[in-house]
Amino acid sequence: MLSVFYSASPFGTGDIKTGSPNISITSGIATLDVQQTGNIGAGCAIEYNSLKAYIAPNRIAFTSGGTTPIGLNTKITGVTSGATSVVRAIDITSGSWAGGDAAGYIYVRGVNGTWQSGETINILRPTFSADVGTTASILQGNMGNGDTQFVVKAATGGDAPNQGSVAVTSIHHEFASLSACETGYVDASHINNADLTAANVMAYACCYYDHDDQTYDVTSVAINGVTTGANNYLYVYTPCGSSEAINCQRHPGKVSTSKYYLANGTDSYLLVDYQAYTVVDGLQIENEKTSGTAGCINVKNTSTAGTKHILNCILMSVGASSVVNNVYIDLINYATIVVLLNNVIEGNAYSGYGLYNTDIDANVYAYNNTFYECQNAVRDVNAQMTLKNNLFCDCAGGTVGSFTASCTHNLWDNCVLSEAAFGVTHTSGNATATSANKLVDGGGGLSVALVGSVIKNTTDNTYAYVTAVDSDTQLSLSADIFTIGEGYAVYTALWRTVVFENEVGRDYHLDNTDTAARGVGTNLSSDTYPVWDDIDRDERP
Amino acid sequence: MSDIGADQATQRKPKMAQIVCIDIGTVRDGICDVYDVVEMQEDNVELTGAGYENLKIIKITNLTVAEVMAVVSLNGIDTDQIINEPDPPIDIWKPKQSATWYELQVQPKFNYTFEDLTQADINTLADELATTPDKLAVLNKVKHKVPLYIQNLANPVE
Repeated sequence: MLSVFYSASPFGTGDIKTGSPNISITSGIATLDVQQTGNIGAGCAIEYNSLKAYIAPNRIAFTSGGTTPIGLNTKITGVTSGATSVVRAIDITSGSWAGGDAAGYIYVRGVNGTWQSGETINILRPTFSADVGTTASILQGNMGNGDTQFVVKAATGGDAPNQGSVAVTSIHHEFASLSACETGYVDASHINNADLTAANVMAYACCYYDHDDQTYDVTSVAINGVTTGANNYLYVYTPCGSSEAINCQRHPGKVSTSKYYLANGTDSYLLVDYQAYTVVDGLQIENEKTSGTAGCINVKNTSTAGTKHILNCILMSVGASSVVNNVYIDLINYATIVVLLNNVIEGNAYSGYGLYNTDIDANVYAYNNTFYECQNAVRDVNAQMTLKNNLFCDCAGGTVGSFTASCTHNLWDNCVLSEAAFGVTHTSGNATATSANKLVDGGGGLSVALVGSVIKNTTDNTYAYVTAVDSDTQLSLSADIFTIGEGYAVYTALWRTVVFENEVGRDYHLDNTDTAARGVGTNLSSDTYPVWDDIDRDERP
Repeated sequence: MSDIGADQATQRKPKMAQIVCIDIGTVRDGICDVYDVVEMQEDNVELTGAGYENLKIIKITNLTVAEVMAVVSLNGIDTDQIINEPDPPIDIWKPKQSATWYELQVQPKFNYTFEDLTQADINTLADELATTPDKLAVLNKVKHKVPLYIQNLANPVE
């Protein structure tokens, strides 16, 4: 299985090479005699001698892959050198993980330290696994550390053929929009197969900002018509590590008009995804419509059973529109898993939902997302959405529908208290005394609560939150809702006021002074859909 | 030499819209057709190389993308949703020139198509000497794809 990379930038396909370099290629490594400084990286084409090759992230060869696959977006380390990297892509050129003899290349986002050839590879994150392979080279390519050597591939994913020193004709982006990239990536000039499983490739659409005048990508995208598979995704992303692009293309965890930005005010959704296996990672998407339906991503699946990931994106629909469903899941014809991790989802506070699942065939897992001013936070009509570690702020309409019992550690700030009481509980029982604005349980166990823990009176369906943990047998509450004998549930959900770095400036990083959301989430490193870093690629504990 | 009159014509920058359409090599059966519009770019955006070998580019001289869209969108559509509690909302659409809403059954991959333009029309669009009214008349042939699906006309909404 091989990886292919194609770039798209609103700048277009004009030549952006630095100087007049010569190129030579040996074993898939291109050496240029002029350091490159342009806005280039993975997915860009290098043309020379009437030939062309595509830049890939720096990589490490490996052998002796065991039965534990090295997965995408995992953090690995070399046991001898201590070098670490996060995996962007994997080529399997021989053997297999199942057979315990996989060999090929690991393409990395960035590098700390210096990889050695012949050292054991461990996986550090999301969870530790020892001896998953052995390096068979040092780091290949010096993108981010010299910018004269680049891993280069042919259009169908194999290494570019060897080449003696010749002049570079051009270095350029391949497409001028994500829409054109999605249209052309499987044509005869590229993968040459609309079936990624048959072609046995993982396709990466690399989105670059316009370095000349920061023009947005204004063309909406429909992802459909290509066969994908569990090992053959279309991965749409913004190159952000020093080993995959000279400049970071991804937003800095907040809105940035100088990074890749997909926006217009004409279409109901900026990205409509019909395919079975896709990843959208690190994009800024804004729907600027001021009337009618407006949203960022419409998730569908008309292909086969599949899995879709929406990761590290900033999704905005802030116009005065009649209906805003920022991430809208419908028309799921096959069993589909939809995973949303580390996204900022910003609505217009007027109508619609931040995340809305309409389809019984979709199972949705939304972890560590920040929902801001979505009129209604989330909705699921079939109780198939699991919410963990999400932050909901100023979502005045609260939630609609029901959710799985696994929901836990969500924080609600200025939403609807009664609609925050769902999911995992710390404890439950019956009040053993009546005391104004108190929950008393003489049997103890209440010290598991936190200030802000959401409390439900399960006898009469009234709600409060904890204002103080008085003792193991008594909590102070925001409302007087208990008399002796009434049932209670103390949820892991929290009702608190969060402090952002610059809320008015649409920067939803947690401020250094915030005590509401810091350190109160649950560790999801071992979850089926693990979260071990954040929207800024900083590691979580 | 100076131009006669208030305007110095040599100081006006040329402008041209580039309409990128599906060509034979990028058709996906049942998904998109030749002349479906993939993207629109101004003339300062280079569209060359392997990325555009299987797409066709229609050049419209003396008009910007915004000016092209101002005409093309007149034949476009409006979209909305009907709240249908407790069921999911219903997507609806109407032609911009009409007041009748319909249920949206089929969402095409691309919004617009130039399929009704003849080669003479395309030549007119590219012709520097063709008048703007002539070009706008040609652009009036550009169609939105939603109304082209009979399913999208099956259920008018009260």
